[in-house]
Amino acid sequence: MENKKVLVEVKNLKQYFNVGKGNTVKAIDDITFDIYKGETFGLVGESGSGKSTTGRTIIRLYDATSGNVIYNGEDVHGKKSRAQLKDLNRKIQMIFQDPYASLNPRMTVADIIAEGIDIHGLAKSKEERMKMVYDLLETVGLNREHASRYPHEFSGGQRQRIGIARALAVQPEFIIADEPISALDVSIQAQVVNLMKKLQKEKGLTYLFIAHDLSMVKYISDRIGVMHRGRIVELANSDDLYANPIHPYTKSLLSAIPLPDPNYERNRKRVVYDPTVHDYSKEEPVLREVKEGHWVLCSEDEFSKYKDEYKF
Amino acid sequence: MDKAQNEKQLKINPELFQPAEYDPSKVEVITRPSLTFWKDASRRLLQNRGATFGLILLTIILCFALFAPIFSSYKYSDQNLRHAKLPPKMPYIEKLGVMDGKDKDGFDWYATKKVDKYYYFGTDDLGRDQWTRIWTGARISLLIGLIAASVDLLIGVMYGGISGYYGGRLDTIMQRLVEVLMGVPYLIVVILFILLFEEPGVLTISLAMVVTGWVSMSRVVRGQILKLKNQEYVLASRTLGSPDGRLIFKHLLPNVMGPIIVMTMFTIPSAIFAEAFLSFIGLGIKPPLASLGSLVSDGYKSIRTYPHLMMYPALVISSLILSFNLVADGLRDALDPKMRK
Repeated sequence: MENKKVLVEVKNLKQYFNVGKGNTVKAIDDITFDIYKGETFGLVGESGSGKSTTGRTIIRLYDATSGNVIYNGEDVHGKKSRAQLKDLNRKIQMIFQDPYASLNPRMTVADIIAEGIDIHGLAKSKEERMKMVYDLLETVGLNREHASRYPHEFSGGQRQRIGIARALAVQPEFIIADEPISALDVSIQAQVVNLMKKLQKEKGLTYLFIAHDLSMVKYISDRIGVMHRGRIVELANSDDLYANPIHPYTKSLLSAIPLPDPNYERNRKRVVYDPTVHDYSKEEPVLREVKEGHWVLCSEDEFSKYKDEYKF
Repeated sequence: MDKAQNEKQLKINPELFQPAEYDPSKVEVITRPSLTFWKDASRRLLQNRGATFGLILLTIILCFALFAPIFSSYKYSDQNLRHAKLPPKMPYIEKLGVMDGKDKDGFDWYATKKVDKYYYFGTDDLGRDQWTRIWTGARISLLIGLIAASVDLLIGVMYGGISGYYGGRLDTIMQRLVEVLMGVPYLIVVILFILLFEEPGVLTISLAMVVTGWVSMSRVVRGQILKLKNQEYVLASRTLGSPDGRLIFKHLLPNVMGPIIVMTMFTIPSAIFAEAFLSFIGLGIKPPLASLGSLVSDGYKSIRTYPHLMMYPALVISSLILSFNLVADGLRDALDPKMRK
């Protein structure tokens, strides 16, 4: 992992809403992490923990309150010329959560997929544009005939694949997948996730995979960040995180995964996370590396305690 | 029951089964014919009986308003005092015992006055042909409706769109302005314009509409834009680098089109009605030009002796407004995506 190139650096990113209105929401509160080229970085956490906001802030849908997102050595936020912005828009793309809301009901599938091609002028002629659309449709496992149809004629899984084709149209390097499978039923989830894996292998894509389905995240991710209340509480390799969860919140999350085994389910003990176990009155917690590549949000005392506990 | 018995009873054996044909390339095929949004909506509109009736009625009124004054042998301002206050008389229909030139007491005025012409809807107290005047008046009413719709579409949609799309402080300022405009009664504005132009007419009514008529449309559009601009497909387009113009014209407006059309269709009859009301109280169209409202107002004075003077314009204005409302109602249902089957 060390010799891998860092593609995206998120540094002390903060995203507050309604600043100065008395009801400030700290959606993201000072998070820092790196995403390496070619990997899948999973981001998990409960509803409202700031996962989606993180994805949207990285792609500039929201203006960050403070902090930086550095993509390939270039700051994503801040003032930019139109050409620079267009360049970034081509490199970073997004797949959305709701396949029913993410396609414009008044546009044909061809127009939806070709939107990026049109904006960036990637096709020189109408024939070339249609050829690109057909290729993309086939890449995501749909037929050419689907190009002239409207989104309401498709099933959820098909729509999500159209969304993926739209993102792929501009040949991005980095794709933010904002809960791409949460709205799909289980058999279709596998279809979409396997498609994403296949595309990653073929095109060398880097993913930021946001989800709350832990087993799916484990399946697709190389590294996982666990978010809670706008902060990353634990960050580790996915195998390591599942084998040795350190932060009590991560333990609580992992204890909630159901298994299709009645005997196990009957005896499963749900660990409830109680934030009062932390004593942060003396110092603010920061991310500390408990073990190589395994970071936990903790105070100095907790740090030594965790180290003892796990004998690293 | 043991297994052998069971099999025998059900008479099932492997030869009965054939592997189903499985072609992965055919799994994704959609057999349903492709319907665009507008095709779908018009199909649903025509399924609605009320709306179809309204549409037909509207077409008939529109045709009469367009062509009746052209083919009539009289002008709306032609006076013929000898032929004043004649009851309606229409060829062919007169044989049925209605519109046969007889007044309510069965007295044939056409024979008495030796009139050999036909006045389809009769004449008024100056001997002007009521048929021509009514359809000319319908033209005025439709013109007012058209102006109201254009004002709604041009100013209302633009104002609401800008206010909703850009949001923030601009939105706050624009909405406070709208609230001020909403507080000004339409009648006051009309009277102010009459003072300004010294005489009432189509111009004053339309100008008053330009000032306040678009307010409710702008609110509808603003609300819709606010709702739509955070939809994921708009965000997706933004992440692809869409400029504002593309977002507005490709993504937002086509999706607000339904409510806009419905709103326009409800605006037209209320504008027609507003004009009729203004003409009735004497703040609208001035003679010799007639509008449906002023005709009703004139006819109302002699309703007991010459009921036809009020009945026919009232009938036309009622059916005009009814047809617009029926069509608007049908459109609202047809354009509502929740109604899709």
